Amino acid sequence: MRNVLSIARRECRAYFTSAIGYVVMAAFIAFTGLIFFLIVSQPQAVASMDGVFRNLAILLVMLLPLLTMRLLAGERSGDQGIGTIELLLTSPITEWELVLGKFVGSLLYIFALLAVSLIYPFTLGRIGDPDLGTIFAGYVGLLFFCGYCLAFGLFLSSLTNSQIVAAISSIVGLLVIWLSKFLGEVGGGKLGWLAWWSFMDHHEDFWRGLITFSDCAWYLSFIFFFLFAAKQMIASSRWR
Amino acid sequence: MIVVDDLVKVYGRRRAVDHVSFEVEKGEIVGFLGPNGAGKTTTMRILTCFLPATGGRAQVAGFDIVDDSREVRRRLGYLPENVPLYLDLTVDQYLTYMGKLKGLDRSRLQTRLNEVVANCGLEHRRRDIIGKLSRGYRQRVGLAQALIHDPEVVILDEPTASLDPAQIREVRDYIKSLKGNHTLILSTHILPEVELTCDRVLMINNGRIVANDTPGNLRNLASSTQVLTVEVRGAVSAAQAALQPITPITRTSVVSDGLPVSGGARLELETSADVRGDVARALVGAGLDLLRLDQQTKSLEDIFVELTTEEPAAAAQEVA
Repeated sequence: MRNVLSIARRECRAYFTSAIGYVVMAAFIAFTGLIFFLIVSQPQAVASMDGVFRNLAILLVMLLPLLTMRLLAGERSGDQGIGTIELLLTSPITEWELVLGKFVGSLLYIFALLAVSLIYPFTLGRIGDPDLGTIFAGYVGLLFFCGYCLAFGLFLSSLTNSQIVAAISSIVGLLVIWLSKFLGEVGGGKLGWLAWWSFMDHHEDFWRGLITFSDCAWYLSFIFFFLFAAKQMIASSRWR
Repeated sequence: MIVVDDLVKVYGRRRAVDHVSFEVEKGEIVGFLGPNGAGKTTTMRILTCFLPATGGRAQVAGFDIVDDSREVRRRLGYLPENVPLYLDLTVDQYLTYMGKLKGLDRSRLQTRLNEVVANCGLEHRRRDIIGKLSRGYRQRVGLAQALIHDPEVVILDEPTASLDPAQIREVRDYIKSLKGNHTLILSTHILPEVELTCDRVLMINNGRIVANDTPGNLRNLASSTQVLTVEVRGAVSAAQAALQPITPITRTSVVSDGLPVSGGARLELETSADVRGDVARALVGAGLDLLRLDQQTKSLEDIFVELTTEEPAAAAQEVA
């Protein structure tokens, strides 16, 4: 546990000692700010975050892989140094501690990101009468959604030595998972099961203010699966 | 402290480590010596649990590297060849991070941090970003990292590579100061380094150990062999026949027949005793003109070159 926190702290701090953390945060603030303004400046605007959450997903699918690409691929070759994975793997830490530390580190950064966005519900509260419960559920859903993207990106980062490859494959992979929802809808009965595999169906419930056990379990199991896969990838370098 | 038993590592079809066995006693400094690509780094990576071996077993500090990998890593300090550092951290931040990962608690970490920083000559660089440090300082930070948790076993892969002579001497002195308290393996392809720092030398070539002895013994082995360079005018076969009866000569080779100016031949003789007089008499007695007679003592370097270049030929013969 101590090791997980040490690694998480180092990873989170690394976002702020390199440009990537600031670039992602700037993009996030600019995009959400614009969307928020466009929504609330409409004549019959409703005091809800629904529009922001709905449009935020596509941005996060593009941005979060940029945060996760360096986590493991960058330890093999990256701007922090070359081959630092050798230091980590010869330290007395377990592969789980390494993967969890990396995941928690990037999640901490997401907390900072989402904390900044709290300005929007706060503004809504000043100019209207928003349903705080729905907004709370939306944020819980956003956290799960980010966790899913981060775990997925972390797994792909464990597969390659190249950060670019990790980032692009994560973005494409997440888009495919997203679009499988529409594939399921178009394909009808035969392909209907595809919709379940997409995160969008599960994400939408949260925007509507629903926190259901099945959605939480769905996200948690996929996050666990991706982290487990990343852990196995790292451990496999020691298998005979 | 370190027991390596029949270690094998195969990359595809190439054998990087070929049935290597050796032992290192507690407090010993052992040098891995060999040309690039001999298997030094691979052996070290296996001992540090970074790479799995294809076959064989090894124990470090009494723990098996496969079954008790974590216990081994707890007792091990390692400086990889490419000196991996987090270039965005300061020296203090980096060493603190590595110390934590190696399981040091807060107070112990603070004392150890001050110690290694002082020992590695980094006092004035503690707040500097590692990415802005020179190569020599980065090497010291890497060394400090390997020693931060005061490990029983220290493995250093080419610790003095790419340092200037003054820095090499500093690092070398520091490595020597570790003797006794730590068991140390270091690799190098620089010979004087081994002679100056190590208690024992393991020469590795093509994944095999070709020599395992103290630098002193290897040097004796070297100095007991003299190389005589002889130039004669006349038939080479006659010269060889004349030298045949002189028993201390272990090897005769013709370097060149028909030298540019004199038109003579140059021979190289390896002898185990001073036979200059006998050689001169024999050659002159055979009616040859003796143009040059020159004796040199073999250096450790020659032995190294011999052991590491003749091996492939011998191996090829074995196969044939």
